[in-house]
Amino acid sequence: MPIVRTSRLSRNDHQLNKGVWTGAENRAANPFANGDSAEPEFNVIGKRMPLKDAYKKVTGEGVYADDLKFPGMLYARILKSTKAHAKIKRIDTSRAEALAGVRAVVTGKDAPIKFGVLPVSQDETAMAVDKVIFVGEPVAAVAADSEAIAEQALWLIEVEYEDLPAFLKPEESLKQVAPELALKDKVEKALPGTNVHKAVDQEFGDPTAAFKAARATPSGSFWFDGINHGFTEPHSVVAHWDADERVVLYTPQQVPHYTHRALAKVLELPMHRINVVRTMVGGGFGGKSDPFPHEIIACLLSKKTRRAVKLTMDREEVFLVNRGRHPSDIKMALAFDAQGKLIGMDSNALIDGGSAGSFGVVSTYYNGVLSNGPYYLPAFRYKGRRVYSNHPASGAMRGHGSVNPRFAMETLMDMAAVELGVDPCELRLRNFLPEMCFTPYHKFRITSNGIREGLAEVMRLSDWKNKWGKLPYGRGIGVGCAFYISGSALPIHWNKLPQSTVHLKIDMDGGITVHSLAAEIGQGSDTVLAQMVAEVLGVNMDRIHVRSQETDLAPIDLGSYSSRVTFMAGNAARDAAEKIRHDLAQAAAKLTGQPAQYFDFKDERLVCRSKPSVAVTFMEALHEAQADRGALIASGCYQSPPLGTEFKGSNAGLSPSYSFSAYICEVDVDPETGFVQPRHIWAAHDCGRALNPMAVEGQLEGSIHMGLGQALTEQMRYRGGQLLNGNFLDYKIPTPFETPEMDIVIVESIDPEGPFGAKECGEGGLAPIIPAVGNAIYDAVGVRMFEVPMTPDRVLRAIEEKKRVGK
Amino acid sequence: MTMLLPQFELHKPTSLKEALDLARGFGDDFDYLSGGTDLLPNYKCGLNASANVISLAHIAELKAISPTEIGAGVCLRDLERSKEVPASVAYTASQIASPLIRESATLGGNLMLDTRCHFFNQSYFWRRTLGYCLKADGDVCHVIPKIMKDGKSVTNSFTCVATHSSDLAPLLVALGASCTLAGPAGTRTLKLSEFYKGDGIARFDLQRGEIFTKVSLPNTSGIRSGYKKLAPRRSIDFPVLGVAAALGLGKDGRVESLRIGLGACETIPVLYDFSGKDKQAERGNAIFTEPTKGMPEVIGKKLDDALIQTIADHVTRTAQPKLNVPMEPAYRKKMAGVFARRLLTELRS
Repeated sequence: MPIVRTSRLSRNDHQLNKGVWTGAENRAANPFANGDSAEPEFNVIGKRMPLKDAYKKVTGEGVYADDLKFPGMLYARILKSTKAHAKIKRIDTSRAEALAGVRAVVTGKDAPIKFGVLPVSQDETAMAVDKVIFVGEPVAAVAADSEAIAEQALWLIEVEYEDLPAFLKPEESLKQVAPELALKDKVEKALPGTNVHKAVDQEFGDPTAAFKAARATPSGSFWFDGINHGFTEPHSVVAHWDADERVVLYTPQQVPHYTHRALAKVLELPMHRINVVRTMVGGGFGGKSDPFPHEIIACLLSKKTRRAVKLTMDREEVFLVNRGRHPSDIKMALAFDAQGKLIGMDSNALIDGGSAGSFGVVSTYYNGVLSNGPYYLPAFRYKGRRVYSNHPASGAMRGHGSVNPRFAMETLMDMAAVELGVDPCELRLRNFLPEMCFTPYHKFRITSNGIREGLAEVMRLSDWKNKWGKLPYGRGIGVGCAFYISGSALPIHWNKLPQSTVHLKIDMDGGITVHSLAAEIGQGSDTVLAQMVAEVLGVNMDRIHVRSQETDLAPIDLGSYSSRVTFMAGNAARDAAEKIRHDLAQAAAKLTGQPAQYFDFKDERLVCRSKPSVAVTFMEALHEAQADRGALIASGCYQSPPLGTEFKGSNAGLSPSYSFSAYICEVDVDPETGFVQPRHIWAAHDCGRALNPMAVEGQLEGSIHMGLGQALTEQMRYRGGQLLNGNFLDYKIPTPFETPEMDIVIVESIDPEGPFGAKECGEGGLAPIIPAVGNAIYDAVGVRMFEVPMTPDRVLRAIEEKKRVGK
Repeated sequence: MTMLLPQFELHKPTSLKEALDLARGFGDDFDYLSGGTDLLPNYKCGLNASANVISLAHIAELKAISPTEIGAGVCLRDLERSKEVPASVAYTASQIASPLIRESATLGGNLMLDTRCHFFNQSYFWRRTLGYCLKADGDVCHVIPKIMKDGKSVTNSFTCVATHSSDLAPLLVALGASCTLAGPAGTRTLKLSEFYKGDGIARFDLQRGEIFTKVSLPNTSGIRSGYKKLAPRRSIDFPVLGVAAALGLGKDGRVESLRIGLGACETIPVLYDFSGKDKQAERGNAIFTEPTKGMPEVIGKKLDDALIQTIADHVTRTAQPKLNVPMEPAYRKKMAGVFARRLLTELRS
């Protein structure tokens, strides 16, 4: 696939880079700032390289949780609720306990303390206590000598239920209900007696006036089916409550730190008695970022048996744990003036949170506030409701909270363009936020912004001007744009600790160990941290060993969610490396008699800038620096600068930087069958600087493929409260046949605060593909799609409806 | 985990006789296994597993392939690459599942696929939650729970409507293929269209212990044949509708023979023989497709666009897909006509 990189735009002359915002002073002096703005020459930054764990993964050497074996290890299985909503009248585990080979049985009573990823939504228990609220909820668990015995024992556990009416449509959860029908003890304060988890009502500017004055007010009522992350590796954990009275939990977590906290709370142990070990993660996408019931269950079973206990789920169970994208009912209207300027938005989102709070408070805000870009939006009204229901829990998934409203907004942008007679790309260009600005009310600080360059480039590559509105019936082209946070600026747990801390250790062997709790989940976290260090110290990548698994060893990092690692942990790693660099430069000065600040670090050597014949090797400098001191160690950290404003909930959506994307997609639509086949995608993403273009392309191609799944085929289908398609045959993830050619355009806007100018590229690239497909369908066959996924039957229904109305 | 394969004893006979002898000793408690790509996933779901599995993979006589006879043990990958079989058969084989699965899966296995239903192809936990499935562990069918012969009962215990999801079956039925079954009492041959029974549980006209050994094709020279598959994705998926046709067209453009096979709508591949010669047993219930009901006159007529549309309309009107596989029945019913029209238009040119 051709890779088009737009020219590197050097933006070092703006205000932001001159310390207007805090954060800059925390960092050591930029070693590349030589007084000119010329592009620095890098050692490893910007070079294409495979991820550090790639070889282990492709050869099968990588160790996943299910690969672990311990002496005397037991196997656990979970008894799941067969009821969507019911009281538990009785649980009798005696027959299961009596089965030969069964070593322990636990139920909800063994761990009644509530937990949840957000401090404001501590609403989960390890297993059901008193009542069950979805089909698949853990009710009890068994540890036995083998999986087969554990499975057999499950069905010997007798559970007597008393059915309660289930809440399966989000609007039903808005109603006042009798106390026994409350799904949770605690609901939205403003709406007591309902099953509403979180309500957000925001109004800024004067939307009423905007809609009154508008020339075009496109509106739509959108429905989005829930979808699941579909990561390859199922949930799998091993817990060992060991002889030292410490708990070790091996778990493929995106966020080991939050699991660490939840375990401490539920198991009532000080955090230092728990070691959370992140095993290799076979995909996460947001679906492995909650502390999970099964993690606690494995610990409980190990506590009872004092043996290591492994618990691996099957695919159906993974679907029932879910935490995927919310089923969403979004009603949105936009207001445009005669010039095509966006002057207002009115959005109403009702999202089905299912059985748990999870990240839902954030999701509820994001569904509204992440409409504040990439367009300037002067009047804003948003009503968001996240409800509990008797479905498996929704949560965070790649592009968290932004993807569904993005489809609505981009569809309405397109409708406005048609109504106003403006080219849809042109309409967008008229409305983009500039770089170096604040959004009007939420005060999102937009630093670098390469969306104009990105859109211009994909327009050129796709031959947009000769295609849009001009292709034959059945073929169409569409555009979608988006922006996304580059790390949530506010930590979930409010405290004064840095969001990322990185430790470095270099001993006389010359190996550089990077300790961090940023989770490598396949996105390249370990590689990017290694690159930071290799760049600053001018050494080869193979010197760098990243140890990012254990809470015992690694300093706290908030983990891999909200696309924060490159920006935050990256800056922390750079910070630490610069401290070591300082020590090594001092050593080189001592060895050569030249001033320390004159040394460049390159190709494993420290070369005197003013006298290039004077140089020492990295190892020489290292050994000198170690004299009378031993291993060099350093700690670096990152904390977001103060951002935002002061209204309730104003923290949501704040980020030190934002990524931007502009996608164009060409599709074929079969007007008789409704099948949509994407032909070609041109995708531009502004990631600040591509630290590793190969990884950036991989993230964007992956985002597109994943987005196409939501766009066209993926949906969690229910019959009553029961998931119909919890397997990979019936849950339709696109195959390579469905995946079109992609041209990835990397836009480098060089962010002033990102490490070496970088910002996120792991999530923001998903949202724009879905509306690009929807808008291309309109261009192909003249119908607007208001339901996602845009399955053949839905597309055909829309085409037939248009024919019927047309006549 | 953790879909554990249940315990069974695997037997590997090397001749038909040996296989039949083994089977005789096991009563009803055995399954034949060929490629295993259908049987073993069902075993993992705890669906009707037996204590004995007799592998047919090592029986050479099941693997012969010629223009008129295809052994049941021929793997789909070989069928797909074969230059000897009609092109439509090779093409249809290439549309099944995925390349990896086709390396194991066989012709016999595809024709004898277990019927599928989203209340059946689920885990034990899932079926238990719903109240079990008629075809596995229960006594209620959840697809059409309200139809009962007395018109009052709310359970459908008289028949299972799980869908036969073979791609090759509708084509071979349309081509007029026969099949040979070897049993303890000798071999017998019957029309493939008569091999299938309108019951998702009993499925086949098969005596205890009989082995499906081969498919025989009639002389297909001069017959134009083809297949169109509807599936959510272009790989991996079972068909949710398959339309096959075998068309004999005179030099004057008049229809000499036309047989259409409709797959993945029902418990059987449904045969529409417009010559009226071959009829499947009428099943006498409105929930089943009735190909002959209102069947238009086609033989001897010029196959123009209007006639093709008439045929397509007939297929759409009579097709009775069930709500038990992906994609809604109403949509699949409509597509049956679209696919029939497109296929016949292609075959005509």
